[in-house]
Amino acid sequence: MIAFQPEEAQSALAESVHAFAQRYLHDNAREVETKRALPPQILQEAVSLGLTALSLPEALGGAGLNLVTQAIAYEALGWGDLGSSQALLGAQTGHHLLAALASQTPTQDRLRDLAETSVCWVAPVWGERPQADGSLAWQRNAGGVVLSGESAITLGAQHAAHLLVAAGGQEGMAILAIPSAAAGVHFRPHALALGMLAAGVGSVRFEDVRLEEADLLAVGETAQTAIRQALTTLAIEQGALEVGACRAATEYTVAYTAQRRAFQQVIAAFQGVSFVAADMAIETEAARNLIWKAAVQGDKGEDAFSTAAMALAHAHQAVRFVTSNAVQLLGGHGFVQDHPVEKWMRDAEAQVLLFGRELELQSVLGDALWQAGAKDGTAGFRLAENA
Amino acid sequence: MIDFTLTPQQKQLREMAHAFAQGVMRPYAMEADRIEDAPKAYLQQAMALGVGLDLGGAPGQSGAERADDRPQERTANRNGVLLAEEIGWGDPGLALALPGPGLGGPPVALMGTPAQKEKYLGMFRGAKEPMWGAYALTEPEAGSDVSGIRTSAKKVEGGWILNGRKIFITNGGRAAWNVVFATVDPTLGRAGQRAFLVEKGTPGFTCTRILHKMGLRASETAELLFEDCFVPDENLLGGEAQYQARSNGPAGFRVAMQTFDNTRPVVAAMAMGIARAAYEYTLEILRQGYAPTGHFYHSARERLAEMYRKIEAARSLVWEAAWKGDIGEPNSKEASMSKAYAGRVSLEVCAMGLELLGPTGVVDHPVEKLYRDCKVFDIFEGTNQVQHLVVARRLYAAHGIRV
Amino acid sequence: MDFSESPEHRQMREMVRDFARREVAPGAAQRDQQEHFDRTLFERMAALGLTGIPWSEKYGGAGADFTSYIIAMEELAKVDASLSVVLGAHVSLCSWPIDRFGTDEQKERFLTPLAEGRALGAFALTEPGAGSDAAHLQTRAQRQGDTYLLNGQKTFITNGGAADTYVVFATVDPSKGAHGVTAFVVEKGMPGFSFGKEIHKMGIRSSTTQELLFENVEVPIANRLGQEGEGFKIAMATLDGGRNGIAAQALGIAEGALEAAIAYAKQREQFGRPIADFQAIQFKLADMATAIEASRLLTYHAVWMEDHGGGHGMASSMAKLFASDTAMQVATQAVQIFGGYGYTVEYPVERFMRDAKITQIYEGTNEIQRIVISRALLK
Ligand SMILES: Cc1cc2nc3c(=O)[nH]c(=O)nc-3n(C[C@H](O)[C@H](O)[C@H](O)COP(=O)(O)OP(=O)(O)OC[C@H]3O[C@@H](n4cnc5c(N)ncnc54)[C@H](O)[C@@H]3O)c2cc1C
Ligand SMILES: Cc1cc2nc3c(=O)[nH]c(=O)nc-3n(C[C@H](O)[C@H](O)[C@H](O)COP(=O)(O)OP(=O)(O)OC[C@H]3O[C@@H](n4cnc5c(N)ncnc54)[C@H](O)[C@@H]3O)c2cc1C
Repeated sequence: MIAFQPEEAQSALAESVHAFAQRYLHDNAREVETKRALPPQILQEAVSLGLTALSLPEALGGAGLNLVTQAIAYEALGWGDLGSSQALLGAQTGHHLLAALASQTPTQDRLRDLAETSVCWVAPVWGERPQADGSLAWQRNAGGVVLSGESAITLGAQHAAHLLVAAGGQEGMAILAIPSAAAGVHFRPHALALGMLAAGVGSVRFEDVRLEEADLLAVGETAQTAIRQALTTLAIEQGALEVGACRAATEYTVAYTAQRRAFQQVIAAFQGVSFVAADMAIETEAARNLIWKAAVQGDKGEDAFSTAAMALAHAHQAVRFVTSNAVQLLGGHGFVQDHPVEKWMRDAEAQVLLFGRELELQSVLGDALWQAGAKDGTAGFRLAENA
Repeated sequence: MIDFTLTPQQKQLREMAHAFAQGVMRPYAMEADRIEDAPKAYLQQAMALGVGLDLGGAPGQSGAERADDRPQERTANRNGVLLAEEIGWGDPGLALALPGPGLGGPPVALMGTPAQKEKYLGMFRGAKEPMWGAYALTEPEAGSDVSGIRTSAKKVEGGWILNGRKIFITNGGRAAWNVVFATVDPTLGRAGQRAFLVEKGTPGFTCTRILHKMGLRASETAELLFEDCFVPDENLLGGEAQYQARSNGPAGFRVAMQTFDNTRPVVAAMAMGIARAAYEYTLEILRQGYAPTGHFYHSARERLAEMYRKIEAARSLVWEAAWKGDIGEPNSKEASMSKAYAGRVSLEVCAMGLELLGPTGVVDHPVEKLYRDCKVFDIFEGTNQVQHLVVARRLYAAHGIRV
Repeated sequence: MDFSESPEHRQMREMVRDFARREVAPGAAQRDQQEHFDRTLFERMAALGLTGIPWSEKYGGAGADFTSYIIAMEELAKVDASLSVVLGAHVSLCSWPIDRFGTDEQKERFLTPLAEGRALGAFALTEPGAGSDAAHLQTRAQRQGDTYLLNGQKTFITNGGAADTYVVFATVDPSKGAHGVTAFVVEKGMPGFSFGKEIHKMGIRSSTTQELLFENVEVPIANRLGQEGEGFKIAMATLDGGRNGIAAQALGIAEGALEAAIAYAKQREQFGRPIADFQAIQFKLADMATAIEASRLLTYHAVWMEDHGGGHGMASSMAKLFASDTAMQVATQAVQIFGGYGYTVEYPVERFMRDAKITQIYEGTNEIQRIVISRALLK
């Protein structure tokens, strides 16, 4: 039955995450950005609340939240501050791969061990070959495995104990686990002025990194399936964070324009201002709904890959629209650091580059649509149906 | 619960509506556009199948009434938007031309006395000939500004005398009855407004002309004239007691507005159905003409994905507004969001479809027609700007600012 | 740099504007509704010297520049895009290749009556199976002694049926692709040359669009434009040149729509004041005017280059692309500003909106323009 009402437990979770986000992410955001790192006590607090393990299944020591609940929690975090959220969560994107692998394999000891550390998925890539980062390759060598190449720009790797990488090789696509302290692993931080300054943005170079057979978590079909599923859930996480950022920026802008005066009026009285605020609210609402839609589909055990790509593309568009208009509606004040909106806009512009860009995501969806065709005679859309 | 699945009944409902749209509406769509009317054969088929248009059934009961009425959840609004999407997909002009109380349904259901409901909604049950209800609010000088209507209602012995003009009234000329909004005293603003049920043939009430439009041509858009038109007391919608009881609040206006909260998502759903039809036509034609490789394919698939994504986003807003209406919560913000977004997106999607199709799309082609049809969905039931006003008002209300 | 209008150009603008307002505007809505092409308007244009503006006086033209022609197109489109389409096909598509590629004798025979407006011209390239890809025509021209035998079918032909003179493209050898395409002048009344289905359109409805049918039409060799196999080049050059005309047409449509919207917004009252008092409306108008100004500059710059012998291909593509997108946006916004009234045929804005669409499509869709522009950038 069509409904948009979070359950009580979900609302309660949202409230506690919200309280955390307000206190540790929102109020400290400038400081976190200036120091380019999340203070350890914030991380500890988050870990104790389970906020760094929202996407882990119970089998791997997580809370086993379904995707809708995850989306609700991530939105609350994103509301606090997008950049700080990534500083907190960026080193844990590997959870999505672990969760996907856990749902496929019975032997989960290794996965559980990994899940106990921080584990970053290095450069998740969508597009024609969602799994492949052009230059990363693995091969077998003397009873072990060797990984070489450089990842695309990614986030959180520096802060993680383990890196997960999807790389191509003669036997096909594989998922590998690499201790970040392993010989031959080089982090190349990028001096991003744009945004996400505390999240550890950079690429990782693997120079003939030698790994054990056991580090090869999955190969071939199994790896492909896991990557696809992990991209789906990662998209829901990222999209939900973006929706949170949209909501924060809309609320902030409405509050600001409701009291800022110009030409003897509050500027909200000008339609050039209030109509834009209305559009910000509309875009936010639609973005949230689409993320929820992907999450519901995933929770029902359906393949939500294209829906998630669509939802993330929409969230990208929304977060850029909303945050840049927030700056605009604050005028000169939006441009300076006395208000958070300029940071939100910068973070948003960096965010949409890192987890699949709008065009890539749309291509994923476009291919699926083309393949499915417009199924006539039943009730229209196959993908839309989800019923 | 957060969910997007349909109940088995809803699926069935939608499938029936789809079959009707596909099998009965579409075959007449191009002809109807050309003749600027709904073909008789179409209306007869609809009658024979018992398909009619009632935008909202009996919406808007308060939560309490619902609770002791029946335990299960009300779904009228959600069902309504599911149906609306399908018939919009079939053909929007023919959808609005469907016999039934149409836009006139909600105010009667919402506010009518039991006798009025029985008479004016009951007449559609088992009707042999096509019949319509209509909703006459807009005036030549009062469109967006609904509080500015000037059609006057003067109390006389046993009834009321109406004087004034209405314009853009869907099915207004052929309707068996119009819900006509008038004012007893313009200086009272909204508090002075009353709604009347005016039957066709009432002396002093005439349809002065039918307007010609760029699209939605299958639907009749009428101009109405009231010249010393006498309407008996029993046709004051809801009865005077209701207006008196609510005399601290502007009842007539509130009815007009509550109607919108229920019909805006429906109108938005139709717009979305149009967009979906345009998307599907475009996709299928391109699939026949191109292999999934090459430059054109690569840009086309992104366009198609954008079209699809925006339709999905619109649908989600429409469903949300309908759901909120069903659970009895105030939904005017959500209703306006859905209409503002779907109206705009529908036009965008149709334009993208035309662009992708090139010349094929503009000559004698359904996508061209849909493009003409959909523009009005950004205009009626509150223009895009009016929807923004409503949303902005709700956003700023929390800060005590009236925008 | 100089942005002022010369006295001749100003005079041309005033003359055409006056004609457009007085004689073209009044019946435009009705002609649109009835899909009626009114030949007498074409004759009036002939009398005013508009049918051969850029051609030499020797061939009955006005001996003026292309800027003057663009001015005429713009002013006509402000009130009736269809009529500007008629003139555009006549001048840019039919007369232009004859002027550029015809022999003196051909110009005498064909260009003079066209320029003087005794004959109406059309351009027949598109076929049911060949639109954007004009190198693969099906219409055949078989050489038989001093004549060619034309067989085939053309579609989407502006002025089709109404026109007297047709520049027709056919292939002498389909296996040669673009190198087989050859151009001919075909005249109405030639045995075997007939008209097929009339095509109903969403916009520019008072210009005719019709199919042409060729069944063993004997076309004398003297009617061949250029050499065998030069047709593709001629067609492409013609379309290149025509783009400025489309840009001017789009510009005119947008201006007409803006003018109407401004007047309406000032006079329409809601909530006790003119809707022009609402910022939502004001800002729309400001955006519309700004985009129009940019189209104007692009368009007149492109035609200035044409008049001054610069390579104007890319400038024309940019002008056509931008002006047509602008026309579409502006007309759509104008309908919105008119509210419900905008949707009815009682005001011109819905017609502007329908008319604007085609400017994004014909003479190379906007996708094609983007390709042309990006190729020039990347070469
Ligand atoms: C980096 C920087 C450098 C600057 N340098 C200089 C300088 O050298 N000298 C100097 O004098 N100033 C300078 N300024 C100030 C700048 O000109 C102002 O910030 C600008 O004029 C906007 O004013 P505001 O910030 O007060 O915004 P506000 O006036 O508060 O505007 C807030 C928002 O409301 C909108 N708004 C306001 N009124 C209306 C209305 N009537 N209708 C519709 N919308 C409305 C605005 O467009 C904006 O979106 C600078 C600002 C910055 C950020
Ligand atoms: C095909 C069709 C069918 C219709 N069917 C019905 C029907 O069945 N019953 C019925 O009662 N009506 C019907 N209408 C009328 C429709 O609801 C009105 O057209 C609509 O409400 C807009 O009013 P208007 O046309 O007078 O535009 P106006 O109110 O004059 O608006 C003109 C422009 O000004 C803008 N504007 C107005 N006020 C503001 C503001 N405060 N701030 C910013 N911008 C503003 C508008 O958005 C619009 O762009 C129909 C209309 C059409 C075209």
